Amino acid sequence: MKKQLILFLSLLIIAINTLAFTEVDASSTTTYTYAIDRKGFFVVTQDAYLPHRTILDLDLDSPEDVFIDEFDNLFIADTGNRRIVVYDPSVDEILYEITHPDFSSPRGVFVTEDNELYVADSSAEAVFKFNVDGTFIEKYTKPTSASFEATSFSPKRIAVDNQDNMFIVAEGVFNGVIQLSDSGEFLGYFTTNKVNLTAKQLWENLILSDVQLEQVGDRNPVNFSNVFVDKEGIKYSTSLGNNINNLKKHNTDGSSNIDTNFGFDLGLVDIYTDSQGIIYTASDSGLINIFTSDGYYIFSFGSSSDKEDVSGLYSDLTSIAVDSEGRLWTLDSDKSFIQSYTPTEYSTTIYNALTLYKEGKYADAVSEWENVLMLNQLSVLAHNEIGRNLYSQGEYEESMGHFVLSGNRGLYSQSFWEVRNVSLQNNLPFLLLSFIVIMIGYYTIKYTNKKYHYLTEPFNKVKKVGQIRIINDVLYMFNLIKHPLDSFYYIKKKSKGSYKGATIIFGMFFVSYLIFITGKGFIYQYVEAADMDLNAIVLGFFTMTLLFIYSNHLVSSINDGEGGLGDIYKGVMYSLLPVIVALLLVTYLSYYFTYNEVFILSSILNAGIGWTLLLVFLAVQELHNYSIRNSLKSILLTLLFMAILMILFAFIQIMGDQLIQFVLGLIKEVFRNVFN
Amino acid sequence: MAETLHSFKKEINRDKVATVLLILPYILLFSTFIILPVLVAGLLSFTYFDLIQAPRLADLYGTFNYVMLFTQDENFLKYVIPNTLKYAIIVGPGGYILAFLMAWMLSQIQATPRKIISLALYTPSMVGGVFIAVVWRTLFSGNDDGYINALLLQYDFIDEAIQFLQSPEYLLNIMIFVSLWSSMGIGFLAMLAGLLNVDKTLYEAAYVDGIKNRFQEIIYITIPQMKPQMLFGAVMAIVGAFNSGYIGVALSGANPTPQYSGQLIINHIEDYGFIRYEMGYAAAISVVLLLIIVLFSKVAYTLFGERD
Repeated sequence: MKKQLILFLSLLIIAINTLAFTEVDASSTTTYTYAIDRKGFFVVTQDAYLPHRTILDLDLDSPEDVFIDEFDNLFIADTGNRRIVVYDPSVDEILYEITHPDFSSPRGVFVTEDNELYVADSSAEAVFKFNVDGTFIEKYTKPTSASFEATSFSPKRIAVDNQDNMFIVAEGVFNGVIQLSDSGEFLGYFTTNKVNLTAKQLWENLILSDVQLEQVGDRNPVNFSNVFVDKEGIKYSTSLGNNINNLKKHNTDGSSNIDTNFGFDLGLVDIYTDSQGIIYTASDSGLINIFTSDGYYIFSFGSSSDKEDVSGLYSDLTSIAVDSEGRLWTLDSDKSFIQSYTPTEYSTTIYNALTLYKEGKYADAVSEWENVLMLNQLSVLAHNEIGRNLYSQGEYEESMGHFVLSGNRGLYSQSFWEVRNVSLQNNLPFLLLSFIVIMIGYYTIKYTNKKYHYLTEPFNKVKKVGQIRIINDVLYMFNLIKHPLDSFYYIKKKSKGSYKGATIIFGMFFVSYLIFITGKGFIYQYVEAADMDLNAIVLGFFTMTLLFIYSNHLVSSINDGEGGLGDIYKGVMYSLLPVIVALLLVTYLSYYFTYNEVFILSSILNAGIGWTLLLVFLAVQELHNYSIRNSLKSILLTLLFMAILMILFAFIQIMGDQLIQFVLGLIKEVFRNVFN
Repeated sequence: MAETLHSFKKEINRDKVATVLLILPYILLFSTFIILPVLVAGLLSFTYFDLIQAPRLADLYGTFNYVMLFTQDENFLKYVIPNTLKYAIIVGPGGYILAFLMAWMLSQIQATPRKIISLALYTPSMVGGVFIAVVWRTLFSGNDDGYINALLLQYDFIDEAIQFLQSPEYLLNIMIFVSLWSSMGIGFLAMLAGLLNVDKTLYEAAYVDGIKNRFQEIIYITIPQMKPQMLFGAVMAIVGAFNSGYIGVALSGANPTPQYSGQLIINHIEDYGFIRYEMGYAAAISVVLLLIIVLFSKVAYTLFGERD
């Protein structure tokens, strides 16, 4: 949630930045290119595309869709002028126009491999099929199928696969992408979006009657905004809405196999792919986002502005297409112009490297990615992909370093597993041997000592050290493990344990907590120590522990609790041994464990925390001489009281600020009145 | 004098013969059906054996199977061991605690409902894996008609049916859940019997001595009084946790389970023994399993055993 918020904020900042800095940009680009760094923030990266041509003189009127055929001709749905314009950028002229008397607002255009042109017209409520040269072939109107009867048919965008199945995004259709056969027969909805219900809506669903439900408004799934079919027949779709996969790359059954849920609405309105499978998307905010064929985010650029006329800024970006040379062609429907971009070396190198990986040429891909690194040393994508290539080649140790730089913990874990496996195998004889030697040594010493007692003297010395008051007090925490109730009883009677001992244990807990928070292995250290607010951690730690002790004292003293503040302090501190052990053990093991063994770590941690909580509970029970019910009550009241105290502190702090301001103001006023 | 000594010796010899005769049936049966198979399995683990040709000594002086298991068998190291540990750590102690709690609750109520409920609780472990699989496969079925999927779909929590029993992220957890549900086995009955046999006068005496609540009753009277049953229950729980592999295969309908997500040691043994017919290798895994169970049982003995 927090991460999503950060992403959203950074996007906002980008939007603001791009507007502010457009004039001081030295290269011919007008907006920065952004990529994500390893912590999930957007960072400025090398320019990926340079503005190429801005074409204003085609007399377009709010064009909505553009498609590029294999000869690099642009097919533009010139919606306002009710025509399809075929434009050849190499000679910069309109080759011909395609019109039909029934055209009302042609909004979507698609050209198939076998040179058939499909036009989606929402006002005419029909799909028109032409030959590419403009000869009219067929008009598809609303399908007659019974299951489609109640639905309106106003096609907005269209894509067609190799079998001439039409995939249509229509206005006001929430059920999904309409799929029509070659003969215009309704085949069903190709893909659907889920209805995202909030907790409140779910609750309303449970309690409201059907009539009431109708009144609370629509519960429609989020809308599809576009659909695309690439040369291999893979279908893509885009949707508008929060917290969903805005971009989908579909399996044959209509489900999606890429994860593009950024938490906020990307605002995608168009999608296009090139021959390498790179996914280009246009969003309504003027951003052009580019993804790998696996749905990994590469970078984005572009921005919106309705005041300035700068190439690269849009007032209403509606469509994007890619030609065979990798140039992007985009449409602005508000100002009716075409903007094209040429890729820089940076982006073409990235695309080549991605393709090399897909073809299995891992070594070539690595060297290509190294070229990317020359241009951008910190490219997360490059490090991640180098790591993946090295991993595929079996060079696990080398790949680990790159996964650290790209922050890819999952793959790091897999590489590490392999590395660890090798070293375990190499050391297995040694480990077994040393184990056997230790066992033999232990038993020989044990049995010879029984006879000759040569260890008794040193042991007694160690025992004497253990009997030094303060050390003995600290060591008393081990008694809590076997006999918790009795041990708390002795603490209460002040015959065992001490404040000093308790404070030392508290210190040990604090140190182990800090080590745990900041010092885990890469796989498990999700936030780097440098990014942490240590003040808040330390302050929070002491506030929570001491506040618990104090609140428990306050609550129990009015509830016939027998233990005093000091008893509670000692009781809580002496309960900490399991959690201290668990924290240190987990921190240590996190350097040697991969995600395969995550369960062991979490159970150690849970066991330690649970054990300590149980001991605290027993401490409350024994120290105050409560029954179980009363101890539970006491603990719940303590927690409640802690919450109240914290709210109170917050109040005092806020009000205190106000008070100080007030007093300062008053003093200033007095001074002004006295000395003027 | 010599006469009496002689007759005394004779007496003793007769006693020895009688003792041997008395334990002979047991020794014979035990060695034929328990010790011998274990020994054979141990010996087989040092060989290659495919049930058709005679077993022959494995490479590396016979240790090849073990070396293979701990160095080359990626599935064993990557999935089987972590899965088995996770399964055993949750199902073992979890089922044990659950069994004790259920038994304790049942011991608090009247005889007739107790008998009925304890029978109901014991049923899952009595009827065995197939029945469990039938019930839970219906519930967790991966198509739209599976009960849980249908419910989730109806209330819009999901938009397409979840393949509970075929997807790695769910299978092991469902196995654990089902095992916990059916964990009131023989250990549960033993503990129930133990609970019912605790001398009631002890509680009265303890109340006179100053204990105040049920919790103290359990800690100070019940558990110390039924230590043998607790130990028995613990050992049964450990053995059960490591030995129950049928659930994963029964639920998913495949061995190996999808992407090894629910593969436990026992499935691995079955996979190699009865599907691939590599008996030597399967025997080696069995020996490792035996050692693990012995190790954990030792832990249980130190925790619950009588020390004298």
